[in-house]
Amino acid sequence: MDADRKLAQYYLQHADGWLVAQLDVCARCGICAEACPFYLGTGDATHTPIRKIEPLRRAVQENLTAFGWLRSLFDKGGSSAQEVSDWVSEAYFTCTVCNRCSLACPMGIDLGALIQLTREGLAAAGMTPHSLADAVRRQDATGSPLGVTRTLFENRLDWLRQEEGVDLPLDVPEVDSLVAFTSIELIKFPGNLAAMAKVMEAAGESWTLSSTGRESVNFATFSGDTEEQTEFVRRLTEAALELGVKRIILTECGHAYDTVRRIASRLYGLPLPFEVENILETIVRFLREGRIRLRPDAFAGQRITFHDACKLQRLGGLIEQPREILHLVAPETFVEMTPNREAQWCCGGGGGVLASPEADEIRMKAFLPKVEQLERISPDAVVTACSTCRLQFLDGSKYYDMDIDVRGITEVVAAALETETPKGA
Amino acid sequence: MDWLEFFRGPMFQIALLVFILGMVYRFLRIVLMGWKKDYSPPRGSAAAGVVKTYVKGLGFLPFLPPKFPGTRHRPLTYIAGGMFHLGLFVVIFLSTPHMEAWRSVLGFGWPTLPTPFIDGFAAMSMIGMIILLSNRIVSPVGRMLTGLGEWLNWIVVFLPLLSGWVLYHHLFGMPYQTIFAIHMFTVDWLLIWIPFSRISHFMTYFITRTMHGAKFGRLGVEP
Ligand code: HEM
Ligand code: SF4
Ligand code: SF4
Repeated sequence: MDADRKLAQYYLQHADGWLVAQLDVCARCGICAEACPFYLGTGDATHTPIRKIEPLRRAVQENLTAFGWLRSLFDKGGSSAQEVSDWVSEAYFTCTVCNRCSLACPMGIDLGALIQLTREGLAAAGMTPHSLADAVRRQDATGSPLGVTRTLFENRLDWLRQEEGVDLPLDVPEVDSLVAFTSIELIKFPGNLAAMAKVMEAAGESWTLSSTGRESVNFATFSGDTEEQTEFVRRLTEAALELGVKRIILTECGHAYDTVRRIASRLYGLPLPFEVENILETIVRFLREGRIRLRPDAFAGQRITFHDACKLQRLGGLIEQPREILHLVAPETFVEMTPNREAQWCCGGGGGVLASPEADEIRMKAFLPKVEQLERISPDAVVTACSTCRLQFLDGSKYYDMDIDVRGITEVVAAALETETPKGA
Repeated sequence: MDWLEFFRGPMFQIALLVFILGMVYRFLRIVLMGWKKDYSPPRGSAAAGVVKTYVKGLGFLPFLPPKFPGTRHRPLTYIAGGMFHLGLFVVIFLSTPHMEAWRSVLGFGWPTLPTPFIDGFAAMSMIGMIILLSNRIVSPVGRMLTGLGEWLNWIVVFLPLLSGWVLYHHLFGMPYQTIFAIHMFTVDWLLIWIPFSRISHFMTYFITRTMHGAKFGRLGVEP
């Protein structure tokens, strides 16, 4: 099979000391399985994390080890269509690249990065699942994987301005911050935009949206298409440079934050010509500078918990910020799930899994560890700072018939804003 | 020259040479192939992450990996791994005959533990290995991850432990010389086998752990 050879070639071209060390060191102990929501939710050994990099492991073993070389003298290798389809489904449909296994592996193997590299090879060999490949093409053509064109974007903003009576500045140069939303928020959670506008106004931040840098989601990160990934980031960063802003603020999305930070620093080097800030950092900055205040009784009597997103917390280090915020708005009733912070159970929807219909059934199973976690503390609401997690929680709580509110952190903050003149005073 | 002399003498020298050259090759290959620099803006200290990851790894028992919260492992796998490695290290470095062997290679020696202790550690190590092997046979994940290489690794590591133990206890009434020769033969094989197998993780472990600590330290996340 030709694509097969292309795949191995890609891996060999990208083989460095890091990769060789990662693959050499694995003791095949299976501890990583117990860290993975897809293994735990299904109990199926084939979803063991280290198995999800099978094509990568094979390429390296067959070409860069003594035994692989010996074997190749007798066995010409090659892989069946069945194997290839198994590789694709394991790499794309049973992994959110949440990095939980990376932290659990006793050898410190960076499984998340290996699975991402596996996807990159599959993408280069043209093996990306159609759903993701189509979404990437749509993002390339229309500017958004959901097909939100510039006109649609502007119409949506108009509708929000009228409906919510908020100020949503567009393409204003020389302001401090460019805010880039995800089209998921625009379509599914427009309340986030209104909430953001309220927070920005309360803090007196000078900000703008951009009609060219309007999308922060990057479906090429999911598919592993590195070229398009860079292109999508460039659209955003070029808008920032053109507008002359000091920083890009990324809203409630996990992979956008990780992708933009990484790719931008590869494009421009460090320090970056602008800051890349996540909404959590923005809110904490406003709080520290005394620009906004939050009412401690805003959610009186409601048990609120926080779900750490894999790309924001486990891979982004934004661990204490959400806790600082939630302790202010629910000082008495904020409760943690266990485990939490970098050890938090993944929701099972990220990394493109939610966008792949093929994974619909298994992603509900991957939500099971979450169900158990939630049942132990039975909160009224779960707050998250990632819209993908939020979608997965909405689906999951419906599927498992759980009575729980799912909220984005920006809306929580907007609802708790202390207004200067208390009503009725 | 009888077998014992051969396995202790020329064969051992060859085995040692293969071991050293093989490990140097493995190490150099990784270093010379290099790795990509992480350009993302740092949120924490890479060095602090490295220190933390080693301290966590050594916190409980040497070579017993830190337990990651919410990992619903069978604790036995962890404990067996710790028993096996700890026992192995005590036997290799703290028993008198082995220290003498090291002294002849390195030129200096160190204090050792009384033999009954060593005996206990060796037994613990073998029990650990048997538990690990049963897990590989019983659990579906273990079965899936166990191939020919893992079986060979197990045998190649278990035999020197077993033969050393038999040697010490004068079991089976075999002549001392014969068992000693068998022990040395298995040790030679272990040395030759290591650089070709995953057992070379005793070296690569320090590379990947360091990378892991540096990466997550830089990200501002507990490694
Ligand atoms: C600094 C030295 C070493 C470190 C840090 C280390 C660490 C580890 C770790 C973390 C594992 C996987 C978890 C487990 O099963 O406990 C493992 C497995 C293993 N190690 Fe080591 N190791 C070292 C040296 C050695 C040596 C010298 C040998 C043999 C001569 C060895 C043989 C094995 C074997 C056979 C396994 C697989 C056990 C199984 O069947 O699951 N290790 N090692
Ligand atoms: S936990 Fe790490 S060493 Fe063990 S099988 Fe998984 S990747 Fe390999
Ligand atoms: S990154 Fe997360 S989802 Fe993927 S294999 Fe590891 S634990 Fe499972």
